[in-house]
Amino acid sequence: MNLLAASTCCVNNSGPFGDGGTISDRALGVYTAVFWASVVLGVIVVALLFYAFIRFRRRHDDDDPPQFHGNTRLEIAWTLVPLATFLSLFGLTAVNMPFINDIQANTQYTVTVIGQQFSWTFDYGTSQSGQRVRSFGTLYLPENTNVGLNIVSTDPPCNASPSVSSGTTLAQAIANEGCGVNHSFYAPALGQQMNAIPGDVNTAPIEARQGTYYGQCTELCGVGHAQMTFVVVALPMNQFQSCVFGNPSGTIDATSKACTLGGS
Amino acid sequence: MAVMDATLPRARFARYDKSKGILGWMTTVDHKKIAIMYLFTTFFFFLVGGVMALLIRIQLAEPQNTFLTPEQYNQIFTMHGTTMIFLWIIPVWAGFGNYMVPLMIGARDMAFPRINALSFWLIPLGGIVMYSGFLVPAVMGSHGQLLCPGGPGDAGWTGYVPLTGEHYSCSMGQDLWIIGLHLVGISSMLGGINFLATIHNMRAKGMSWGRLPLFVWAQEITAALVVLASPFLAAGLAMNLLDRQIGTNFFDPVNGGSALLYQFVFWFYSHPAVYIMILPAFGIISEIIPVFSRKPIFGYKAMAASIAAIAVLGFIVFVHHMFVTGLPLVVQTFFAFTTFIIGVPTGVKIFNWLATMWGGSIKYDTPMLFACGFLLMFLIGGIDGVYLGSLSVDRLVHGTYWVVAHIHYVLFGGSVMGVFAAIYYWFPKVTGRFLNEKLGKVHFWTMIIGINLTFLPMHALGILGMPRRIATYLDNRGWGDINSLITFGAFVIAISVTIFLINFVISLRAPKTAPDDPWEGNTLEWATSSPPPPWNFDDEQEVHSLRPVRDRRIARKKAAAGAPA
Repeated sequence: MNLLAASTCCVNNSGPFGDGGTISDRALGVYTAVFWASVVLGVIVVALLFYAFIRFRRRHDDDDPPQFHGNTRLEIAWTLVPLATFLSLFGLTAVNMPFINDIQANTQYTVTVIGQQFSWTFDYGTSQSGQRVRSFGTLYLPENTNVGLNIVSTDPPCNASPSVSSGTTLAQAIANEGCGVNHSFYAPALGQQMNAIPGDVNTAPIEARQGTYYGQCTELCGVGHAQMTFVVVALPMNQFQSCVFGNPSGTIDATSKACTLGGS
Repeated sequence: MAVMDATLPRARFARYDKSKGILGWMTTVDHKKIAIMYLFTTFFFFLVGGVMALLIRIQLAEPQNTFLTPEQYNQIFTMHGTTMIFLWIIPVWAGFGNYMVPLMIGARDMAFPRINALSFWLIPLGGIVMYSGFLVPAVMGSHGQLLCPGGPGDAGWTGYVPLTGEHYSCSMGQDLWIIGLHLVGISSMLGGINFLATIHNMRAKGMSWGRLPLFVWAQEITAALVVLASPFLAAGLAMNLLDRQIGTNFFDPVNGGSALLYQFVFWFYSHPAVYIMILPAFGIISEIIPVFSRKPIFGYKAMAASIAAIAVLGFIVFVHHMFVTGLPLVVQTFFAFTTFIIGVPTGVKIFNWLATMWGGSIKYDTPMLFACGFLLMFLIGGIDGVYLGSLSVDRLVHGTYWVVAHIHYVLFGGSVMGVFAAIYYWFPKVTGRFLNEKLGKVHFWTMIIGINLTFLPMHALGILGMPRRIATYLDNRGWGDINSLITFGAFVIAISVTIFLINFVISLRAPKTAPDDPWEGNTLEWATSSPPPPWNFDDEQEVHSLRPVRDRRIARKKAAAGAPA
């Protein structure tokens, strides 16, 4: 089975991880390196195993093979070769992780991702008219722009829109309440996954090329776990601006005429 | 009570056979009878867990299936995981260890025979307590409204809070799940202490640590892991039970507790627990490959040392289960490093098994077939684990079917294949009979095919972004065909296990034809009769190498050749 082919098979950027943006490019790059390293090492080991299985099968009942107990040089070699391989893969991972894990310092937009039983709410801050802007089940992003996510969980009896005192954030206010169960924000095509844990604010960057991407909760959260899907829609910057921050009603959703979805 | 030793008289052990029938089984402290009860009980739970796996697979076979409700689905996959891990793989190795460790070190019994019996009886008790959750009825209000749905634990085998807290899991089934797990955990810890005491104090004359069979090494290290790690599970479960029952707030963020804390405590046990499940399989494979290749194990010291290294490193990789919980990047990176490093001793083991076969004379009886199957399946499970160890790739596949594929290649392709290898290898010793070789080979090939039909396509589902533990999925995801294939594979495994059961029943009715040493074995269990007498050995054992039974076989051959005609 060609794992790489499987990863690029599907239409609409909707299913597999892969080419959704620069973050997933990095993750996919590391994946590809691990893939080839495991193919090369795996094929060598499997070939050696099958050679041994066949070549050294018993031919006569009284076969009496030479009794050797070890070979220090050989054993050092097959300790060092995997070690070197693993260290290289670790290095590649470590080099790429800040880009995948950290919200960039100059990030212009931060979205609060609120996981609840069993839905996702995305809060963008306040609109031009001073109202809180939220979308439900759809995360709107400006295309090719690094956006910070503050990921939290809540549920009744806590308030998903608590009053936010100055000097703190909505995410922190929700986390301070402490309600909810664990969820996980997972957008495979965008290479990002991060838990929503009651009491904590988790952060992750996200970036998408123009298009529509599918996402789903990956942490068991109760009977409705399978329904906790969402969609990520990446719009051209001006459309995102007018859509999200220019909307007078203060809320938007996928069917809203005020928001023309790009790329679809 | 004095610790038993090998010099105790045979008459002391002849009493083991005094009570017959059911009473004899219920009162026995004979490590061999206890082991047989362990094996039957755990295999029963394996079948129960297997039936639940089939129910899961029927539900997922097609999109938007309604074979199970989401409530039933969550209960069944929770009990499937809990059963397979805590009532099957961990205790089945305690069962094999119980039978074989005293024999392999030339002892007459375990160090603490009565505690040994207690360890066993806690397993069915724990299982019954856990499963009694299915009997917990729903609670209805005075107006017929549902107050609490009832049923067993349904929050996954990991039992994360707050989902298992009183607010989200009101059913008493969740308490029974916790208490059942406690009982099984106590069984494990008592067993672990018993193994350590036995292996440290009761080895035969001449059996230095450098002559200890690798299966016993594996049991020694496993027991150490059990004794060191299991208290953390017990602590985590106890804290959750206190939160639920008497209103403490260890894990409740509303009142200042920490939900994330549970994951630290849980995985500090549960990652070492993965090695508790796989190390004994390493041990039996390290016994079978030399015997059927007619060669000594290659790099004995490296093999023993790598088990120990895996155990030590096993305590400092657990955070890779928590890579997407928002820990500081430096913490994530450290645990990614240790996770890559633990691949090295694992690789060493694969190469040493390969080198043991190299230049040998390999006979493919069923135990060896399963050992070879273990090597290939465990290799896949090791390799797909590397992807999860890489933080960057983990973001893509954490919490998806990739993880399900990985755990099943390691625990089914690895541990369960090891269990079957051990069953075919030791069946003649325990029963005096052979399992049927032809049926055994059919069992093996259907098993290999079934495992790969079931678990290989799960990698593709992971890549396609299918989350674990979802009760159903929409048909526009492109997951349907792969899931159908996986369900087909699961039934191939079921057929394979059925073939094994038929083989087991037929073989138990066959005449006793197994000699003391049917496979040209190396270790002391082959030095006594099949099955062994209650006192294990007629004479006190003495060893001069890693392969005492082979030494004696060669000495006998020489004596026969040198004897006048």
